Amino acid sequence: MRPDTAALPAGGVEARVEAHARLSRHDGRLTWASSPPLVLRRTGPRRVHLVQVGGGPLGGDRLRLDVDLGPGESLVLRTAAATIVQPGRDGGTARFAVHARLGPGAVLDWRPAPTVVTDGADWWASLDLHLADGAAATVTEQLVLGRAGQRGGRARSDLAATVAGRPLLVSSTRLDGADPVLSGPGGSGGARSVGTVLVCGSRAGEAGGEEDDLRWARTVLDGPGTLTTAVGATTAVTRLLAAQCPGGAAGST
Amino acid sequence: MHPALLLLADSRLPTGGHAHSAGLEACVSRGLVRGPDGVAALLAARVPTTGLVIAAAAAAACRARTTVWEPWDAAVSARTPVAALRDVSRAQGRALLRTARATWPSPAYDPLGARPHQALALGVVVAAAGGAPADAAALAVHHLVGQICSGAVRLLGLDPLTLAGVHAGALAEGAATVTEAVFAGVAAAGADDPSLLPAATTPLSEVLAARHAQADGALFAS
Repeated sequence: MRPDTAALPAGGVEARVEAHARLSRHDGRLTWASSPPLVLRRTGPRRVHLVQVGGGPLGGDRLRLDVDLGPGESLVLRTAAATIVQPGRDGGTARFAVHARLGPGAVLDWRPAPTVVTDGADWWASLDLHLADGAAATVTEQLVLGRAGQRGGRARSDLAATVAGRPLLVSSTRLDGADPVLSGPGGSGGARSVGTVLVCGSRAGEAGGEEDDLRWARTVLDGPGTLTTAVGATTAVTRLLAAQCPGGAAGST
Repeated sequence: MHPALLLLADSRLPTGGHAHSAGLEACVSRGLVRGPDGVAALLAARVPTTGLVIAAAAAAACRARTTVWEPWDAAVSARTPVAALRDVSRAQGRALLRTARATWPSPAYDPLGARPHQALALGVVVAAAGGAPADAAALAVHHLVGQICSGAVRLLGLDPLTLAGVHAGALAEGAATVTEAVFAGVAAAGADDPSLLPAATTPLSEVLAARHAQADGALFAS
C-alpha cells in the first residue's frame, strides 16, 4: 500500500514519495520528527527504530534521515524490518540518504536490517558521517541482490566518514546482479550478498578469511577506523557481520 | 602527442609497475579468472571503478595549482581503504618521482613529499613533462590495464595475440572512463576541493586485495 501523503502527479505517472526524518539528542534529551513512509519510534532510553511504512521504497522515492548527536550523547539506531527495494513504474532510482553529525565523545551504532534489491530495482543509499574528535561510530550494513531465485537489481552504496574534518573513508560501491561485468570477478564474483562494518573512532587489527560461501577482510583505514567487507552467500554474510559486531546477532541492545 | 608522454607510457621506464598485477593474481589463484574472457570481465569492472578513481586523481593533480598536497593525499587515502594498496600506491609514487627527477626535473615534485600516492605523482609529473589532465588520466588507465594484461601473460600463459585483442578492447572501452575522469578531476582541481574526486569501487576486489597482501608466496605484490 502506498501512503496517501504522496501526491499523484497528473498524467498517471507513478507517485514519487519524498520523506525527511530528523533525530537529535542533546543534553540527554531525544527529539525527533518524522512522517510516513519514514517513521521513527523510540524503543529505549538511547535507542530508536526506523520503521518504513507503506511497502517501499520504490523507484523514484527520495528518503532522507538526519541524525545529530551532541557532545557525549549515544544512540543505537535500528530498523524494524528488512528494506525491500522494488522498481518503480517509471524505472527511476530509489534514494535513501543518511546524514549523521556526532559531537565530541558522541557514539552512534547504526545497524539497519538487510536491504534486498529486487530484480529491476535501482537503489542508491548513502551515509555521510561527520565525527568530532573523540566521537565513535559503528555502521553495519548488508545488501542482498534479489529475493530467492532472483539475480537482483542495481545498487550503489556510498559511505563517507570524516573525523575532525579529515576524510577517513570515501567509497561508492557498485553492484548489479543483472550485469555480468559487475557480478563477475571484478565486481561481486557471483555472490548474492555484500556486508560492511565501518568502525570509526577505534582501531582493531587486520583480519580476514575465506570459506566456500564467504570471503571477507578487515582493513585498517588511514585514520582512526577499520572497514570490514564481506562478500558471499546471504546467510554467511549475516553470520560474519553478527560475529564482527559488538552488539551480537540480535543487534538490539 | 608530446614525445615525453610516450616514455611515461612505456613499461621500460623504471617505476616498479611490473611487480603488480592490479588484483589479477588474487583472482587467478582462486580460479575466478581462467582465460581471456575472465581477463576482459575483470578489466570491464575495474576500469570504470578503480580506474576512474586513480585517473581522476591524476587529472586533478595535473591541473591543480597547489603546493599544499595534504588534503589531496588524504582524499586518495580515504578512497583506498585497503592498507596494503595504500602502501603499493605510495611505493609506486615514490619510484615514479625518483625517475621523473632524472627525466623531467622540476621543483613541483618537492611539495608532494617523499611517498606521494602514485596517481598524484603521475599528475604532477605529466604536467612537468608538458602534458595535460587528459594525458594523466589516459596514462593512469593505461597502466592499470597494462598491469592486468601483462600479469595475464605471466600467470595464465595466454596467447599474446588473443590478449592483445583483450588489451585493445579494454583501452577502447576505457576511453569513456578517461573522459569522465578528466571532467571530475579538472572540476575538483578548479574548485580546489578533493572531496569532489570520484570513489567508485567493487567489493570483491577490495576483499581480495587485502587477502592477497595477507597471503604468502604470491608472485605479484598486488
